[in-house]
Amino acid sequence: MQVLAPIQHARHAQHAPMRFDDPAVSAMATARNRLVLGAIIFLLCFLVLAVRTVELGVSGGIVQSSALPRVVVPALRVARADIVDRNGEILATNLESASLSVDPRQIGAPEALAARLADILPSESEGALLGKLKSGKRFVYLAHNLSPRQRWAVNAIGEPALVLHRTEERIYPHGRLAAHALGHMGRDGDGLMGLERSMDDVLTNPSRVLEPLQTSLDIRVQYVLTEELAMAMRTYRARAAAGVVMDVNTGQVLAMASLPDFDPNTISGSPGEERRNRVTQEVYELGSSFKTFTFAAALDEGIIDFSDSYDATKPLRVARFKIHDDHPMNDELTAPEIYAFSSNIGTAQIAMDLGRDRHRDFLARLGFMEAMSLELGEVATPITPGNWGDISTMTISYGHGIAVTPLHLVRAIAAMVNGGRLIDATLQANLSATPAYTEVLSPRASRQVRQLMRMAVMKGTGGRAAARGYRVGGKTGTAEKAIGGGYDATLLVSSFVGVFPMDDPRYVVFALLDEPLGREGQTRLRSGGWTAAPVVKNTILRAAPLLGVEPRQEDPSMYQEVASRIRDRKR
Amino acid sequence: MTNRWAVFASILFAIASVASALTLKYHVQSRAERAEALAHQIAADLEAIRVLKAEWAYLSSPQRVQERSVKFLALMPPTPSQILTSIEDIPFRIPSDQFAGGRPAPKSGRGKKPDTERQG
Repeated sequence: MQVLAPIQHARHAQHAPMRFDDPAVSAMATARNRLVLGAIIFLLCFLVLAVRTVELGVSGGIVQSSALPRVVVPALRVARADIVDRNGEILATNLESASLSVDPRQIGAPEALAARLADILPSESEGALLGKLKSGKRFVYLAHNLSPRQRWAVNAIGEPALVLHRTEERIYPHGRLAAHALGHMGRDGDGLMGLERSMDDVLTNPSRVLEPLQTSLDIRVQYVLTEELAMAMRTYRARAAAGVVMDVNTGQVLAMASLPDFDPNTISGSPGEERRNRVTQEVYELGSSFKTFTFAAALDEGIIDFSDSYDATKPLRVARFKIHDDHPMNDELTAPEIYAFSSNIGTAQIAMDLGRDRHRDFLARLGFMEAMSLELGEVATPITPGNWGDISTMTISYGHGIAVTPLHLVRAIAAMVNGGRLIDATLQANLSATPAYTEVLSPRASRQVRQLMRMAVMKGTGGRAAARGYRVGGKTGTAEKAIGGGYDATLLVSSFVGVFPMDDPRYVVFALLDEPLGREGQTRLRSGGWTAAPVVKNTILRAAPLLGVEPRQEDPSMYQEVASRIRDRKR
Repeated sequence: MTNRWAVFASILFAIASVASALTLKYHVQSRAERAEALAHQIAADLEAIRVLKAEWAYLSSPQRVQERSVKFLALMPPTPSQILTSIEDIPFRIPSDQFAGGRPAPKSGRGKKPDTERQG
């Protein structure tokens, strides 16, 4: 009440009679004038506002942007990053999909609903659906990965008990291609194999799911290699096949094929045999391609020269073993001949001249004693002899008695031809950085190995790998399979490791056929030079143009010296 | 008299400003709704682009392309001798400087190579 007292006092003052001659009255007039002035100022201000309002309402284009909240485009919701190949081609992607669940307790007529759902979901039988609808639980999944059309049809039923959940489906557009490298996903959305498993953390990292994981694979080369391998596998009736294409200067794997393969889109039901990555997970005694390493070590250490020759007239007897040649020459052979014609007898003698320790250390430097570091989890450890005696040295010199993965061999062959740099194999495209390497061979010995490999194709056992114009070099490998403590001459592992172009090596191409039976009626012709070399040749012929390797005539003087040491083969 | 006109004008003016303010408001509202709808459309399109990219990857998969090629085209794999690695190797080629307009450049022998180099 006390607060209002001054106001009441003021009212009393207003009701008092006014007199104009009073000085107080003239003061009032002044005040009134001032008040009018203030009112006019306010009126002008309001007028400006009103005019502006009308102008805004009437005029068309409002150019000026305001401080209104910006419209935000909802970000793409992706749970898992894409995987792309080196050219950005999508190898694996997540697409929006839906799962259908139901609350069975809310359903009035399960029979009718089951019948309608069975029409929409051809993968589910009506009986199974009815069973789920009658289960009496609170929540049952009816189907996963519904197509947009199925989603629409389910919504059209209008049954509130049916609930569609937004899910994501992992799609591999290229199906079986590179399936072993990519791996596949489990139902719960976790990677179960290959890059999907080993790169799970990177792929699901929420801050970079919109950024695809770029692999070193080239899907075109992958297709060429896979197709050629599959064709050879059919032709020569092999049990399985494996192949690799690798860049010799970066260690990047462009293609990695293992047959039989599987489709990662529909993985359930593939037997374990198909999921096995024969390139990294399986160890083989790879046979004569190992001669490359024996020769490289001997050339590097100065043990042999191209002019040296060894006696290969009769089988070599060591303790209870007898070393034969698959392609007997029955003659004194020069070192290049031993390599080109793949003489076990000659190579074993070179290995003995080199010495057990130097031979073993060289192979150890090439990484043949331990599992590889690779982006895939599926890597096998090589099998090496526990007791590395002279006999082991001799047999390992031509690739028996040591079992390694094909990728081990490819990586080591790359080091043999690229100037002696051993570079780790990788499935990740790192297109700028120069990879780390260890020096394992002198550039001079590497050049000599290149000449030997070229000769093995030009004049030796690898003739069927000669892709005209692409200067292919390589080495055949034919190994008998070890069964129950001995070797079974009827079961072979036939392989060929090729490098092109030999004057400036860029790619290693490897092909392996597991237990080829040979063509119908030609069961003797199933060695690596016969079965696997054409795979390498065809792969090079088809892939080289894609990889930018130009076909051209080579300079014959590069091989003059070594070629003069190889007599033309007796037929 | 003046006073009445003033009142009348003020009322008119008030109605006009209310009307224009309302028009403005609805205009802004519809624009905001449109922007919102566009944002959703963009999001849906982004998702659709992902689907299309996946479909394109599937449709352009080398295996599929080869199947179509075998079925519809009479193309054979190129042999190394068919692959020319230099544009200068193309026979009967008009040197590019003659296309540049103006007078043809004097013959310098470029674009011509001895036939012996093209044997494959």
